Parts: sequence; C-alpha cells; structure tokens
Amino acid sequence: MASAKASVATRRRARVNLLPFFLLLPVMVVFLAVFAPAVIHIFLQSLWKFDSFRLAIVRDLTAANYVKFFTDAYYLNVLWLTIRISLIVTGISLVIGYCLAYFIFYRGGRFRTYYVLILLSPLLVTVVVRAFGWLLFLGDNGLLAQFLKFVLRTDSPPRVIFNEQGVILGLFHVYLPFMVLAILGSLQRIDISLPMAARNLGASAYQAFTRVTLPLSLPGVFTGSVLVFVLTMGSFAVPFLLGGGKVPMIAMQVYEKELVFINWPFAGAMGFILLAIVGTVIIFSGRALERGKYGVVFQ
Amino acid sequence: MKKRFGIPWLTILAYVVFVFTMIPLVVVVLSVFTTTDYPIFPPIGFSWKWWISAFQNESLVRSFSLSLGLAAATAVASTTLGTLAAMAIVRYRFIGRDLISTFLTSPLILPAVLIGVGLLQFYVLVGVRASFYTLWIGHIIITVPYVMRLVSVSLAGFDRNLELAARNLGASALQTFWRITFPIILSGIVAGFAFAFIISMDDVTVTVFLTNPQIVTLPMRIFAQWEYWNYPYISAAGSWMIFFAAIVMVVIERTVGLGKVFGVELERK
Amino acid sequence: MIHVELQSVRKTFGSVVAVNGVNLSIEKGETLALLGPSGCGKTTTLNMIAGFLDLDDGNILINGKVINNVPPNKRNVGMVFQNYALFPHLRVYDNVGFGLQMRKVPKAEITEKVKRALDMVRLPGVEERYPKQLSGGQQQRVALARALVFNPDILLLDEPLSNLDAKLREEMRLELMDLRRRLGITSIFVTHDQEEALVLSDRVAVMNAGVIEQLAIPTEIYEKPKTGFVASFIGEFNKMAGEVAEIGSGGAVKVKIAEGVVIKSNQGYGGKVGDKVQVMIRPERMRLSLQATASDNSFPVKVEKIAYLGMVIRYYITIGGVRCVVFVANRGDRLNIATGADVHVEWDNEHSLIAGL
Repeated sequence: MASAKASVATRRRARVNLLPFFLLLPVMVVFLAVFAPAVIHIFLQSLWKFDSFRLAIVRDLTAANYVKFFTDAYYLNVLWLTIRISLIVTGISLVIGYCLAYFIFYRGGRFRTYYVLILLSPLLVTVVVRAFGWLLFLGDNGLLAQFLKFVLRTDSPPRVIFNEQGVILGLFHVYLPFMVLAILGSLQRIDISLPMAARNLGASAYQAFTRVTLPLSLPGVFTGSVLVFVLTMGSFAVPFLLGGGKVPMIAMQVYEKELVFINWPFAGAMGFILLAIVGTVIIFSGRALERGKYGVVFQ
Repeated sequence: MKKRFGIPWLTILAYVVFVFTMIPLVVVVLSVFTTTDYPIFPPIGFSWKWWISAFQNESLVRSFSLSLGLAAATAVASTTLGTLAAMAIVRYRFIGRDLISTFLTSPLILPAVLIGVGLLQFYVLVGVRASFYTLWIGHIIITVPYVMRLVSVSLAGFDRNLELAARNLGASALQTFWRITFPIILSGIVAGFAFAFIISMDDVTVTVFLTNPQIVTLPMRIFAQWEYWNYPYISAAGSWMIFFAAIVMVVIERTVGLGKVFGVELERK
Repeated sequence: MIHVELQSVRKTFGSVVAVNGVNLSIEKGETLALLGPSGCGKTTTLNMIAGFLDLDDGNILINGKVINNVPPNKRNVGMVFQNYALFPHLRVYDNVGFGLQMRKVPKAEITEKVKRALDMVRLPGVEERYPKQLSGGQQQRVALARALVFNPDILLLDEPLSNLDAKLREEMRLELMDLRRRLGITSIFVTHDQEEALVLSDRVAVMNAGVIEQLAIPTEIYEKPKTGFVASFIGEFNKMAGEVAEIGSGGAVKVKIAEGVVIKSNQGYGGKVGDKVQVMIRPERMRLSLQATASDNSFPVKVEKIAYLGMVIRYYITIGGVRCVVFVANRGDRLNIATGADVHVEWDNEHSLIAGL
C-alpha cells in the first residue's frame, strides 16, 4: 500500500521533471551548439597571439591583446570617445526624455497612447534606413542645409553629419524612446494621489514636483540612463553610417579589426572589453538601486 | 488640473521632439518621388519612376526577397523555440532554471558586435561556409530572447485554474494545451512572431559579419552601398522596410500592445 | 455659524454630469457624510472642495469667502486620501511634517508638533520609519496625523476606513468618533458604507447620480427615507406595489397589495385613492409568531426558506405574491419555526412607509 503510493509519487515527479527538459531541448541545442561555443571561442582566441606579418593566429596564450588596448593611445582614445559620446547621448536623452515622459503622462490625456506610438514607431525601422533619412535631411542638399544657407546667408553652412554631432544626433534619435519608456514606467507607478496630497498639504505645483514626483521617478531615470548608456556603448551602425569615418567608436573598431585587418584575436578582445564595461555598469547599477536610499521604498 | 497661462514650453518641446522622431522616416518615404536623378528631400517634382525602377533592380529585389524569406524563417523558428522555452521556464521549477533563463536571454545584454564576431569566427573554426542557414541560426539566436519575453508575459498573466478546470472537465493534457492554453497565450506568441520577424529584417550589426556577396539582406545592401548612396531606389527600399515595420507595429499593438513589448503598459484612461 | 457652503455646484467630465447642482451648508464643528454608490459624484464633490478639480458652475465658500479659484495648496484643508497617499520615499516624520515644512514652520516646532500629532493618533515613536514598514491601520493613523498637524480649517476624508479589514475598521471607527469629539473640527467624509456614515456623522447627505437625494440626521435617513433610492441604499426594505384603497384621518392609509391583502399605515400619503404606490417595510420591523395577535398588520404566511446568519436569522415569506424577508434577532431562544411552517407575519402601522411610484 505504502510502496504503491510511493511509486505513484515518483512517477509523478519524474513526469513533472522531464517535461521542461523536452520543452527546452530544441532551443538549448541551438544555443549550446552554436552560441555558447562561439562566445567561448572568441574569448579563448582573444587570449591568443596574432602574427601581423603572416596574418595568422598563433595559439600562444597571452594577454597582449588586452594590454595593447589599454596601453595604445589610439585605443584609449577610442575608449574615451565611446564613453564620452555615450555619456552625452545619455545626458541629452535624459533631459529631453524626462520632459517628454512627463508631458505624455500628465498632459497627454486621451492622446497618450498615440504619443507613445509616435515615439516608438521608428524603433521597428532598421537603423540603416533611418540613417539614410538623416543623410537626406542633414546632407549637403538636405532641407537643413538649405535652411541654414538661407538663414546664415552662406554657401557652406555648418554640417551636422559625417562628424561627431551627426553621430550624437543619430544615436539620440535611436535611443530616446528607451529613456522615455523607462521614465514613463516609473511615473506611471506613482500613485496619482501623492502629488495631490502634496498640494493639499500646502506645496506649490513646483514643490509637489521636486519633493514628490521627481524623487519617486528616480528609478526610471536610473534604469533609462543605464539602458541608453549601455546601448550607446555598443552601437555600431550609427557611428559607421553617420560618422563619416571620423567617429571611431569601439564597436566600429571591432568590425574593422575583424573584417578589414582580420586581426581576430584583437577584435575579440575589444568585444570582451566592451562587454566587461557594459556588464560592470549593469551589475553595479543593479546593486546601487537595491542598496540605495530608495531601496526600502522600491523593494 | 488648473488653468495654466503663459507659453506652454513643455507642449512645444514635446511636439518638436515628435516631429524630430518622424523626420527620417518621412524623408525616406517622400524622397523617392523626386524627378531628379539623385535622392533629395524635399523631392523635386513628383514621379513614380524610382519606385518602378527599384522593382526592376534585380539585386535590390533579390535582397528584398532574401530579407523576407529570412525574416519569415527566423520568426517561425524563434517563435517555436522561444514559446516552448518560455513554457518551461514560467511553468516549471527545476534545477538551473534561473541559469538557463539568463543564458537564453543573454543575447539581449551581450553587445551585438560580439555576437556577430563570435559567430563568424565559430563558423570558420568548424569549417561552415556562410550561407542562408548560418545567417538564419544567427538571427534565431538574437530573436529568441524577445519571443521568450513576450510569451512569458502572456503566460504570467494566465490563470492556471483555467487549465485545472479543463482537466477537471475531462480534457487530456494535450487537449488542454491546444484548446485552452494556446488560444489564450496566442496574442503573446503572435507578438513574438512579429517582433522576431522585424528584428531579423532590420538587423545589420550581427548580419554584417555573416553575409557574403551571394547573401545580402536588404539593409545590408543599403549599408554596403552607403558610399554610393546617390540612387533614389535606396529610398524605395527604405519605404518597403518602413511598410513592413508599420505592419508589425499594428500587429503588436493589436495583440499585446506596443508599450508592453518595451516594458510600459499604458492604461487607457 | 455656517463654515463650508456649496452653492449649486456642478461638474461635468465630457458628456458625463458628475455633480449636478449640489447645495450644502455645513456648520462649524459639524461632521457631514457624503454617502452614495460609486459614481454618484461624492468623491468629485470632495475633490472640488479640496481644490483638485475646477467647478463648472456654482460656488464653494469657506468662512463666507468664495474659494473657487484658490489653488489647493492655499486652501488650508486637511485631507485623508482613500489609499492614504503617504509619500513612500519619506519617513513618517517628513510625511507628517510635510504640511508644516511647506508653511515654513521652524524645525524645532515641526518636531514638537509631529510628536504631538502622532501621540494624538496613538502612534508615538514611529517618526523614523517609512510608510511601507507600517501596517494598514498604522498608515491610516499617520495619514490622519498628517492631515491634522497643521491645524486645517476643515478636514476631508475620502473613504477613510475602506482599506482596513473588518475588525480594524470597527476599532478605527470608534477612534475617529472619539477624535472628532475631542477636536471639534468641521469635517466632510465620503463613504459608500452606510454604517460608517450613520455612526460617524452629524448629518448624512445621500447622493445619487450627481444630486443629493436626502440630507438629514442619521436616524431620519434610516427611519424616514425620502426617496425610493435612499430607502433601497440604506439597509433593506421589503417593497410591495399596490393601490391606495382608503385615506383616513391622522395619516391613516390603507393600501391594497393583492386580493385580500390590505396593508395599514399611519404615515400619511399626499395623493388620492386609487394611486399606485409602494409600501416599504424594514425586515427587522416585521415579527413572526405562531399565533395571530392583535397587530395592525397581520397575515398568515408560510416560511419558504431560512437563512441562518448567526446574529440574525432571515426568514423568507411571501405576502400577496411578493417575496419578503423578516429579520429575527438571534436571542438564543430559537423560534421553533422550520421551513414550511405556517406562521403569521405582523408589524405595526408606523412601520409601513408609503412612497409614490
């Protein structure tokens, strides 16, 4: 009797245990057969030597690729440029994105969903096409150039494409929606009666914003900033297409080293340096958010 | 709440940004109608000639059909694999569940160039030549996480008592899945399919490492011809891409809502 | 002395009329309950008094002054929100002291006043905690302290007890009664809970579809509902449609419900014989007895169903074709009545209320 019961229980448990295994099997085959070995392989290869005369990989374990990146002034400059542009894009997206999120949430009224749709619509269009649009708009014959020629009464108006400004503008356009969405998410979690309570207790509209709404939306500000920073750090197509070769951000360098110079170990090393930076930012920001002053409040 | 006076700076700023957001799309769609031999915005005159010539451009059409085929194949595969995986991860508790979940969604966090470089080098290592299938595998890897996320969201909101009720009424496990579970999470699956489709169609960062002259997706065709952009048919190709993006957007908005895909749920007030 | 006054206040949201010409005067020190179902306009009315919503029409006066255009932060009105609206990122100290900080009260004084306010709501020593670390009842007390600490002219409470469980609600209800007596502050509270309204207020305004259906002291609201809505919203009524058969002197009325079923009342009726009317009798005013006694109204009935609710027992019967219920208090001497028993239902004249249809 007792053993019969036990065997039923084991059979049950066995069935429950096997099903998720079968469900995961197909995707795990693809990921374990291709994705995981690919990532592990480039990591190992990034620790190998590259013979630049024979253009061949020498399987000697070395940290030279990483050392080179952090000692060569050119690559340090690339790193600094990438971080700088990412910070600028994050900063601009934060300021504009906050205003926009605030507008959509508090002033959007019944158009709120449409505003969000407008904001999100470019996200599904490939970056290449968007860059092409900017090229036509900002290029030498574009509307902006014509406008500037007319206003500034000059034949050679300042360019906002094929240079750093162009890249920043393009990146801002690509990543702004993420910032707005993150902030919108946190504004939405703020109970509408909280700013009302502040007003009731004597706060002006401005005080209600700075004392209640703004601090309570900080998690969104934080998440959005981390997201935009991380995405910008890894961006490849926009600096490639809108930088005119003058804005060598790190992902572009990876591409160049991989496909033009065929220095695969070094390309892999740069990829992992990028991953390390991005990963550090994500992990530390997660910790900061958990432990920070508002940890009690937002779990 | 109260009547406001003065210049509505916030509103003006918001509308300026909305216009800014739409600029590149509007420019691409309109510039194709120019009568000039080079693309320009605003277009000069009005003509369909570049539209027509784009459809007569063999390499462009080949790229377009490749992109469509690849996107469809990717969406089918990713949706199947991702849905099964999401079911396993949301529904069951097993050892290594969190680890597997993180592993399967890691392509979202890894820089895309790293994935591209990794796949290229791995294919070379195992001696596989670049082909439709190698590109397909690459696209599956980058789209599976999105499908998993979307399906998980609809699974998480699913009342499991419905399944128990079906079992209680005499349905087998499989019948329960097909007649109860699947129809209810279908919106998440459809959204996942649409999203996988468009991501596959749009990608350049991973694709750039996995193409060869025989396999050039539409965005890659534009990318590769960037220096010779003086052809308005690129605008036409861009319009095709925008058209598909619009379809996907409508599909997602009708199923789970676009906001939800990107992590916000705007309740309609 | 009239402290708060609403004069034909009207508010619409798009095509929906939320508040449609509400008139109210509230005496100094009085507690008024706005009672009604959801969507009746009671919360909208409260939000207009607090200044969160503009009026479409009419005036709101405090101390005789029109305050329609005074922003919410200048109204000096304390408010307890339904979900308490405690600032989650601020400690209890800063929550309670918020109003004082906005009024630029010196720090030492804030500390002192916050302490006194927390003592008053019997929650001393929680200054350093965050709202999330408090129970629902404690949060309610903090919200109350926060609304009272800056000496507001009037106190507004939006469904103050609805988020508490039954036991805590009872406790807080008693405490609110006590606090109200001690402070004597003019207060207006919104509720959909009739008991809460009856217990806590000096007067009750029953609202429906944007208008006040009846404004009266609690006993009158219960005993003499003016409209069918008030009658059905407060407590339960057995309602029987009939025809006025006879109008006598001293308010005596007879209403014929069905063949052989004539209900007597002494509550008066303004119409004429032959009018279609509704007779309403509270279930707890009906009695069941095994033998007919000399009551004003007495009908033989059959017990169809019995619902034993513990404190009361509900007996379902039919009078003149109308399903009625009789509440019998459970005094331990359970009536020896079973389902199917033949009994007599009886009540006195004064409990038959008559309303036009």
